[in-house]
Amino acid sequence: MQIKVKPIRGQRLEIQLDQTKLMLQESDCQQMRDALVSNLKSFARHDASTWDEAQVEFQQLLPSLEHLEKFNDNELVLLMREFDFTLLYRVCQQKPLTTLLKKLETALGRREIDRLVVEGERLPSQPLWEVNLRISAMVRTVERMTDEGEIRPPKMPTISAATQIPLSQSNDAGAIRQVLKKMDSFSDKTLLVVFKQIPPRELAKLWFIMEEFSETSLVAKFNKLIPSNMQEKLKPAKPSQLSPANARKTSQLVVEVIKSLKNKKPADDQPGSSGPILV
Amino acid sequence: MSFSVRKIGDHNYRIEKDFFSMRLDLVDSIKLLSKLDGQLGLNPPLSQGEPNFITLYRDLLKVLTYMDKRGMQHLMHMASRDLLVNIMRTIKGTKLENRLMTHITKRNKQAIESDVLYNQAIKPGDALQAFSDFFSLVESQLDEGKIALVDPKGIYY
Repeated sequence: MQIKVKPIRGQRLEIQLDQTKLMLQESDCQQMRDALVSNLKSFARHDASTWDEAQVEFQQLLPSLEHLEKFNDNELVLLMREFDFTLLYRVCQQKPLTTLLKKLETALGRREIDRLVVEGERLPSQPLWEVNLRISAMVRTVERMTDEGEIRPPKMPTISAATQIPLSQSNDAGAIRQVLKKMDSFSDKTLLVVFKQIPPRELAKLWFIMEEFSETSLVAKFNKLIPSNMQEKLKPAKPSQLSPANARKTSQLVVEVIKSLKNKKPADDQPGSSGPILV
Repeated sequence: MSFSVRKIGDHNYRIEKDFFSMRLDLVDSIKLLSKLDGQLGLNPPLSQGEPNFITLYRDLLKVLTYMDKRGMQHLMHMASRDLLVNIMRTIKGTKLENRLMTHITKRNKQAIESDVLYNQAIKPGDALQAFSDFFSLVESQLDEGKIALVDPKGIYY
């Protein structure tokens, strides 16, 4: 880019940037210059608050990474087959998470570890938020593989009571409660259809969520509509605790189910039925 | 209304005021800055110090050295020997020079130090050119994803 700055009459400067010409008072020029300098000085830097937030999130996510120690060798092998562990292996090395490193070496074998190390050396340094994204992705992979029955890792230990926020008071609580209230407004018939459409594992989670939110009328309907032998079957899948994000996911699934039912209704040749309307 | 400057990505800046809006990269921004400082008389007198842009570029160079070893080596490898000689002349005898040299191969280091120009002071105009060329290289390598900047106060893995 061609850049020229020359003085013209009346304490002004003419700035030429390629095709653009600016005629500015000297005071304006000074202002532009100062704004430029302060931005240029922050080259490669991010706000301190961005780092602080990433640090807080990392502390929350680290236990999920350490939890891999509890997996058996076969589960680790299956997980690593689906999930690229390169960056997280580097995290394990630098922390260092010695127990997990040993465990990984026995499970995966020296050759696979060597491959992870070599790949890791090729990867540029990653900021903490990238590590956080990676751990979250790993957690989702573990959840999916568990849901699909591929692996059966031990459950994550309960987060210490002091730091745990009750599900009904979490950030996601509002949205979840809204879904529950909506469900409560359905007729028994509609509600049964909805329950039947929800996969059993998710239904068990929903059961837990309804109780956790003390939605007594909805829980009563659930007990009435779902026969006790079915309840017995669901019980083993009913969690003893659930992360807000997870509960949110379940409630979203319920919304999807309701929506798809709503779309299906008119096509079902049932003009008389009053389907649920979700706002 | 006053001028506002926003950072876009790693090395682009948008300057705005009223209806005027323009995007400049890092190298052009500092070129503009050097000319404004010259016209506005904001640089220290020649006898008392160097133009502001040299100090600024030196700071940026220092920030660069926080990059991982692989990235630094790649950058030093991509820069021509003549360019490296000039860059070293702008930071001659400083800790920063030593830090940069650690990422250069032994042979290249010897070649730089035996260059006829290496021991001569560099004129501000030539320094601006050298920094501009070097940071253009930094920009292109960032865009290609060959190197990644590291915030000295950040946490990286």
